[in-house]
Amino acid sequence: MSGGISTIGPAEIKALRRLLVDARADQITRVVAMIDSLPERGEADDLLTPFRARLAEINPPRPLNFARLLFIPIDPLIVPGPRWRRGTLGVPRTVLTPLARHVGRALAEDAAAIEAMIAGRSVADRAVIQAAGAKLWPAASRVMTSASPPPDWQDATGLPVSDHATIAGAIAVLLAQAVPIQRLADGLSSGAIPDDAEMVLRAILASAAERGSQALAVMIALLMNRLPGFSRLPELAREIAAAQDKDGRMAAERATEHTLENLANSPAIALAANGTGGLAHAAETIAHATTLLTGLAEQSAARPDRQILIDELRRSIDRACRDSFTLLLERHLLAPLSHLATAADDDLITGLEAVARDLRAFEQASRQAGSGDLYDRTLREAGKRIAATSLPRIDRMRLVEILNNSDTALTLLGARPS
Amino acid sequence: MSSPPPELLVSYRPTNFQERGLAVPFTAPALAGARVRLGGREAGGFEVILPNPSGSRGVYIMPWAAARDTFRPSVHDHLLATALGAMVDFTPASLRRAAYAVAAGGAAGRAARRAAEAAMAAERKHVLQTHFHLLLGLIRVTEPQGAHPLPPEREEQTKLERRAGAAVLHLARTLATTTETIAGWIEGLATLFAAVGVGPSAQEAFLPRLLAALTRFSKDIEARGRAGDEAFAPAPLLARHAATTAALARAALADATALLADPFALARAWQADRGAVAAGVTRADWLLDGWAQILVLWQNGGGAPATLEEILRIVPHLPTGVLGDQASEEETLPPAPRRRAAAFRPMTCAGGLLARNEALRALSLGTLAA
Repeated sequence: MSGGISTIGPAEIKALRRLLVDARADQITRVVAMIDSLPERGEADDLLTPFRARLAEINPPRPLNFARLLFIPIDPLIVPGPRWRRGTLGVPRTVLTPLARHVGRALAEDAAAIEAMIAGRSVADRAVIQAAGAKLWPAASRVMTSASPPPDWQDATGLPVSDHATIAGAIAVLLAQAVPIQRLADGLSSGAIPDDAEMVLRAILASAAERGSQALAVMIALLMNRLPGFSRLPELAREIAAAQDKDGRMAAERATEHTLENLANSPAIALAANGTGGLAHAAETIAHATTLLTGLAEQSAARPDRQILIDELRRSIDRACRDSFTLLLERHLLAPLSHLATAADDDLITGLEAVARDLRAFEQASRQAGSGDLYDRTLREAGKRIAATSLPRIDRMRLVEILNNSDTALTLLGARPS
Repeated sequence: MSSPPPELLVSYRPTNFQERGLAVPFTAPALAGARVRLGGREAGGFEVILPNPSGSRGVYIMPWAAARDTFRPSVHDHLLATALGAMVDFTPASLRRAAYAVAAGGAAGRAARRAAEAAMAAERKHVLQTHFHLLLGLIRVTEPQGAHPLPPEREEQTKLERRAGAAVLHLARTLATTTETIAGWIEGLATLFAAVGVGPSAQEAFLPRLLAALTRFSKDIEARGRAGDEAFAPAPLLARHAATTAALARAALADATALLADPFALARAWQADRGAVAAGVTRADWLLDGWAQILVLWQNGGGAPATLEEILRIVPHLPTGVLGDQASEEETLPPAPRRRAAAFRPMTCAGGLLARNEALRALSLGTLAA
């Protein structure tokens, strides 16, 4: 399964499908790498559809290619082809390949230059994504706004030609604003939100509102996902739409419904809470969901039905997280610590501190969904166990500080200054 | 017992270095950019000055006990505060050494521990080098012209020790004191001058390196201001503030170095008033105090606008007394940071910010030994 394959036939696809049914993580990773290396993915891409939940769990490194770069900005809105319904705000995965091919052909030499920029890079390479995306997304938006359906649209997507304008038009609106949205999202994830964030958001929403209420609703849904910490979004959208004599309230309602439905149907949170994609990924995924729900709850004070749904979602996140937190704490931190000798080298201690930090971030995100007392109790007990290990005192203090707080560390280890 | 909430002092212009306090490398996110100064002994030994707490101009000033109750110091900060309480001299160098010791104990993590150990070793080396060069200088001025075939710096060890002993004896007789006293003075002066830099490797000492980095920063930030990016609108003012500080520090270093030209005069001044000599030698250290954190933030932040905002929050004011009565407000006050919009609910957890501050601490110790 090396990179030498350039096409893949029906017989190979059948064989791969059989292999994937019971595949181990490493086998799935190999198949994904092989499909990623194909210049024309075609039917091979469909192979992955039933395994996308497991893919999210395994989280294999994905190389950056033209289509992936093109659709990174709208990733939160992509839904499996069979789940897509006309009139909803999602983008069916089946349209991505034909649209990417179409954009690639239209951009010709520019597309080749972008391909050269991303060659050999992965989706984790944020700087390259920003630089190449800044060239691609606005240009692709212009192509999609004006282009007629690609000739293979119906065959490749299974959708009638009449759906093209709606889907491509919505993607075009999103891609036109992808660069400023990406800048805001990066600022939010690094804790460095630009001062002009609200002004930028207003401009993004105003440009979407100009394209109609469907475009505005899709944009709000995307922004809810990319900027979960901005709870004033629906309010802002209503304000901006009203200035254009548009119904922003309805667009915000649809976006909220879509976001809640996605949260309810996505296996990502339950998978992340298991810790199989790594503790940091788990903490980030849970923080995203709980931050989003907190914001939506604030905006839904006058909607008891929605409050009930939000509470249900919180309870389901709470169950998934609290069940696994104790296990993860034991497996990743307390058990390794109990086997450590008195002196541990720098790398080992630094690694355990990183684990403790990820566990704490997991706990802080999870407790937004409930079970605060349980987390307090569990962490207190963990602190006592760490304090009782044979590690040097300062290492124990730091681990207790990370997992609990400095006061507990100083109290447990008898170093409280007068 | 909890402390009363601190009051915001909107107009804050310290008149001298003692009032401005010392930059202290606390790692707790809420204490970033804090300074400490003597005061309120009964309330914990020193006061904490917390700059621009809400993103606009102003400071909180409170006893350490109140800061401890309000701003959740880290374990590292608690240990550093204990060390500050035990400091005999409240000077930049004393605080630096206290902070080295706390970091070398591992309180800010293993990376900071390694960096602090290296910084302490480098400081010991600089003190020894300075001691050696002070002795060489003394030998040169006490020996008659042509008394020895080799200059002292090329002399072999045993003969050099004899020549140094003779020079110390000469100075002791001249000042009517003992050789032990002179040896003690040289040791004290070596510690004092180590950060200033003496001899051929003077530019490797702490303050010349910090000054060079500040000069580069001033030029960098000025260039960013000229590029016309709206986010860097305060950059020209910041660049000017940095350049003014650098010019004053350069002059202070030159004055300190000039004292070494006449070891007899220096020894007499030391004999008469150690405090006055120390004030002159450490003036550059006081002037540059607080800039190391800023340089590390800039180095680490990749020139992002958010880094500039963070820097503006903690830029040290120049005490009004430094520039004299004619100093304009613009010269002593750095540009104010802008108030941040609070519309976004943060997703970054406090542990992540503490880890980032610890990484910056390790970087600061590793690159600037500050």
